[in-house]
Amino acid sequence: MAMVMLGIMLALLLAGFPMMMPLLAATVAAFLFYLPDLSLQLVVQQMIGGVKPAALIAVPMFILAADIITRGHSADRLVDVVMRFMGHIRGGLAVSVTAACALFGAVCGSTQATVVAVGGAMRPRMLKAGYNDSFSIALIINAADLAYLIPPSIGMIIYGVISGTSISELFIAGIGPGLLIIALFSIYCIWYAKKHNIPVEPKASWGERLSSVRRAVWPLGFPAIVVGGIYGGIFSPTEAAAICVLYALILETLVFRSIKLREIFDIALSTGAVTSVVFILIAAGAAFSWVLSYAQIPQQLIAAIGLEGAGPIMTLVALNIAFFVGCMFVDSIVVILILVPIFAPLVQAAGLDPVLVGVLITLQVAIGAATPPFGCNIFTAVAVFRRPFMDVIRGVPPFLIILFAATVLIVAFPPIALFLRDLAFR
Amino acid sequence: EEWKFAIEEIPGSIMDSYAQEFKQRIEAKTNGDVTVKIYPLGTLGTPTELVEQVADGVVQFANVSVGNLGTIVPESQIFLLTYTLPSDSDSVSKLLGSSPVIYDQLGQDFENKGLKLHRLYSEGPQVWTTNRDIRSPADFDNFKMRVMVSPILLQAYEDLGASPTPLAFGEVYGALQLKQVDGQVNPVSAIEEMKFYEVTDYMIWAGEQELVTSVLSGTDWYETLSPARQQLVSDTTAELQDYIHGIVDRFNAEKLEKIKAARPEIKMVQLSDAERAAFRERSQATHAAYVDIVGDRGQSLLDALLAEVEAL
Amino acid sequence: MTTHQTIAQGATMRPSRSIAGRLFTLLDAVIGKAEMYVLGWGIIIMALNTIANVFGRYLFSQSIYFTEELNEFLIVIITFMGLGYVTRKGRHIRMSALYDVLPARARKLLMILIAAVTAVAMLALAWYAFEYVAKIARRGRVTPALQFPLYLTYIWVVLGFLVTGIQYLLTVFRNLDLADTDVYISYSTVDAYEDPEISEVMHLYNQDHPAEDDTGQASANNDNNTR
Ligand code: NA
Ligand code: NA
Repeated sequence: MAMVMLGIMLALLLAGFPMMMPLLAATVAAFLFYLPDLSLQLVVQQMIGGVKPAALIAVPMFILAADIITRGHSADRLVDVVMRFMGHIRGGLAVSVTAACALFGAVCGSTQATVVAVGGAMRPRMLKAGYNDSFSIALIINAADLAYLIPPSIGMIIYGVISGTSISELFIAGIGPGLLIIALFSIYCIWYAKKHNIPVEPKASWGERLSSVRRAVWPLGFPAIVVGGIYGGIFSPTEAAAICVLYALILETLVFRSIKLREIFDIALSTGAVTSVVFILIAAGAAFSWVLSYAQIPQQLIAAIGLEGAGPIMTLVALNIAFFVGCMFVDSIVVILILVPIFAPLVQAAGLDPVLVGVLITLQVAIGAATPPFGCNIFTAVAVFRRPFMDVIRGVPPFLIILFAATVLIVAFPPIALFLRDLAFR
Repeated sequence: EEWKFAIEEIPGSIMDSYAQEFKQRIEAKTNGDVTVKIYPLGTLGTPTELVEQVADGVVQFANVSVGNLGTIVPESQIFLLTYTLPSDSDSVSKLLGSSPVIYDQLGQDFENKGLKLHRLYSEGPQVWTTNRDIRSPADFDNFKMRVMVSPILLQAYEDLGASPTPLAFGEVYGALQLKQVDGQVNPVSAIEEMKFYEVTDYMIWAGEQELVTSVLSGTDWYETLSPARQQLVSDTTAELQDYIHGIVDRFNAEKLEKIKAARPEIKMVQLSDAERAAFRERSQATHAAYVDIVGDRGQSLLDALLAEVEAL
Repeated sequence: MTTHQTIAQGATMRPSRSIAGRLFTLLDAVIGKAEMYVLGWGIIIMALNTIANVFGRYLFSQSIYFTEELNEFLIVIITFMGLGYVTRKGRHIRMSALYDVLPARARKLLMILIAAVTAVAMLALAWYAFEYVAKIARRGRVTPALQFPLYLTYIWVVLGFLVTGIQYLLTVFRNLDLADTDVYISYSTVDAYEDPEISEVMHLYNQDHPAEDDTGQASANNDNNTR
């Protein structure tokens, strides 16, 4: 059954069907051939249920806010500040994008929202600076993944609950690996800029820097709302996004007068379209993963591998591969819900630290969001940047290699994750 | 023959213990003719979706808490009223085990929605975990209490003096940590499993409620069973009533010890009878809201249940 | 310069000239208008609703008890009614690796197949969505906070699938005219990725970097150029 579903999926995928079809067709095939007693009403139930989680509302809200500030002046002024400070360093812009994605993603917790909000503002500037588009998009969608690793992280919360692991410890253990990946991405960015001879801007004087900051005083309210509002406990991420929309409207229509009120409908329409493009895939993915769960396919596949009595390293390798492959096709939360209980006895038998396991799982889940064929970050980038799917994924491989390297490093040197945890809790 | 049993909690939880024991006994009694497969939290959807699936016979059994039944069987929200059930767990268990009001009258309301109500059981007293001490309704001033999205619960906590804030279960930990809400309410077992004690300072027993859960099948599927099989299910769920009461007591005691060990500085507060009385008095207003939502049917159910409680 | 123009042309709509074609164009336009309103206002109301809840909580110490429920309803309507709109605009995400290397005629035939199969799937889902919604209506389900009939919040899913199915049928119809060499990704949209703002940037970029065509943008634009 798994093979038939995979076959149908790949065939439709390669033929160029709209992406919801491979997922839906595989699901429907499973119903018709293997679960003939069940009504396809369930597909509809799960599709509707898939888009309803409250946390997902942050995505359209951040898309709307980003749409307003990139059409107006705010985004430009914010990026100007970055350029004045980092533009003279080779690769400086790309490193800034990495850091901005990591910070924004960490705070708001949504990788898709990060792709839109940071990517929407920074990508045009990267193109102007001479970066290749595939590189720029791949950097954005991969750096956005750090949303999962740096607290607060919904993936870690769910892992913590399912496995009975302290969520506070998980949160702290995610910081080291997050910083490691930021560092690795930055090194790659600088190397890339050197290799492709991306021109640098003349170094800005302190006067120019100060004036750019002054021009950006109002727009600097956005990071303040997101970081201060969420970490300060004033807003949920969704609410912070909505407040950003309000702030963006006030700035762009009243202060900068760059957008007329009647343009708002067009911006909302475009936000709605992007939301629909991405959310229909989340919906189809929910139906797809329901069938997998119901038929207990992951359990069967893992039992077939036969991992009983494996040592700690073998268990970790298998675990990383299982979560990575799972997240290529299925929504990350569902993967955690299904796979963690299956692996729990193996992890315990191998004597592994559940916090280390949680960090590794979260990392794989993060990687999965930017790994073809099915990844929310990819879908979001295609929808928002209006580039063909193939262009969006073309630049991904180097980042995947870096993320794998990070995985290997953490497996080989667990203190990368556990040092801060031990410092705080032991 | 395979029966699928879906639960809204994680592996290792009280509901999981229930389902595992049910599986063991059914498989033993049928010599393996019937096998039971258990689907834990989230693998088949939200609790509401599970109830739809059990009504449609997609899964044969489901164990969901009554807080998640409000939109399907509104009458069941009677168990969300505060200070309505007895305040000691043994009496609650006795009531839930044998009440004619529940199994004859309320059971009919389930039947009307295509649901066969096998059993109700309690997961133990609800406990408030909060970031400040709550002793009286006045202490609830400007206090954002997370509750399930249920009009009755919202009303109930407003009546007790708090600002109830509905929030999805998965987001409660983050909201407590970031102080978006000041407290939440759940039994000890859930507080330990969800790690809420990591992000709150007080655990308060106010005796206002227990967490009641329901074991359900779809009537359509249940009626296809032979009388012998129906008897098997009804006998087994009846046996499990005492079994699960023991498990709940043990779980809550063990998990309370775990919490004390993991976070010794958390303050545990038992409200005195006098303190409870102040809340109890305010809870009377919520009854009207229940009757508003459920209608005359609600009034007669409520009167009958209160009479039963009185007679215990 | 040519690159830029080609992309810009891809974005323009092509009216059909036959009588049936005009009728379909009208139908297409009416449905499109309705979808636009639902999408745009859905997003605006969602923002207002969320903002109001924040203000309610801090200014009046009173959360709006139905904020989350209204947002749930809006996201369902945006996703599924939007489905028709993005289909019209040819905005669905596709992995077109194989499709892109085919000759124009084969591409057109493949598009007919894709649109036909997708139309059948969407219409089937519309039917099962209808059954599902009818069942919910029969059972008298209400929403938790507002106690509003649940089926009224889901009925849009049926409509969304139905409209999308029709849209794909129209696409089949449009592509059946094999004399027209353009491949239509929806009834009114020629297959091309477009974004005027970005293509402007790309144009500048290509002028500055004439030699660069190793990966990404430059070759992607050449791709578009051949259509
Ligand atoms: Na995060
Ligand atoms: Na993926």
